[in-house]
Amino acid sequence: MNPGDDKSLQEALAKWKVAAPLPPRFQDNVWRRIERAEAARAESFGQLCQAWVERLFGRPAFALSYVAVLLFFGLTAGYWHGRVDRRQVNTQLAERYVQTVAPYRDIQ
Amino acid sequence: MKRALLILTLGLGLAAGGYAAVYFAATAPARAEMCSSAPELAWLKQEFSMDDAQFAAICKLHEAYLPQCRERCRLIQSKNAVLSAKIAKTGAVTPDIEMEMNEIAQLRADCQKEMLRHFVAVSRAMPPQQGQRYLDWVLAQTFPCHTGAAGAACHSMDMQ
Repeated sequence: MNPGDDKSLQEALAKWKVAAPLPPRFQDNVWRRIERAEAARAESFGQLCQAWVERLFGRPAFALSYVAVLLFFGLTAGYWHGRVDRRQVNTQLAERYVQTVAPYRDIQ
Repeated sequence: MKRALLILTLGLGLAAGGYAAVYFAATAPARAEMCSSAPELAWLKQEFSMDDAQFAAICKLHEAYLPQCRERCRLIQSKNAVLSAKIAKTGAVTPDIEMEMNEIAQLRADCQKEMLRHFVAVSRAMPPQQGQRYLDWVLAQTFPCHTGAAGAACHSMDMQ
C-alpha cells in the first residue's frame, strides 16, 4: 500500500509540529558545507585535467608527435622570419647603393 | 605529471631553439653585410656573386667615381640655386636664364654620361652573366625611361 493513500498517517503528519530549536549557527554551517562541496568539485576538475595530460603524454607516440610538431613550427617560423628580414635588408642596401652612385636623382 | 611537464617544456624549448637557430642562420649574411665598412658594396658582392679580386676591382672603380660624382652634384645644385634666384628676380625667361638652363642641362647630361660609363665599367668587372644582370638592374633604377632588354627588366627585377 502507498503511504500517500493512508489518511490517518497524513493527518498525523499534518498535525506534527517541530518544537526543538535549530542548533547554534545553523545557517553558517550550511553555507560552509556548500562552499566545501564546491571547492571539492573544482579540485576534482583540475585533477581530471592533470590525469588526462598525464595519460596523453604517457603515450610515447603522442609525446614524440608533440615535440616533432613544435620543432617543425619553430624551424618554419625562424626560416620565414629570417627570409623576410633578409629581403628587407637587401632592398635597403640596393636602394642605398643606387643612392650612392646616382645621387643626382634627388636634386632634380 | 613530472614526465608530462618535462615533455611539454622540451617541446617548447626545441621550438624556440629551432626558431632562433634558423633565424640567425638565415640572416647571417645580411648581418655580415651591415657590419662591413661599406654595406652597399658588400651587398653588391653578395648579390652579383663576385670573387674577392672582382670585388676589389669594383671597390677601386667605386672609390674613383664617387668624388667626381659628388663634385658634379655640387655643381648642379649651385647652378640650380643661381637659376632659382634669377627666376625670382626677373620673373621672366630672359636670355641669361635660358643660358643657365642650358648649362644645367649640359651638366646633367655629363653627369648621366659619366654615370653610365661607371655602370658599364662595373658590369665589365663582374662575371659576364652577372654583369649583364647588374647593368639591367642599375639602368632600370637610374634611367627609368630607357628602352631595350634592360627596360623590360625595369619592373621585373626582384632582388632576393
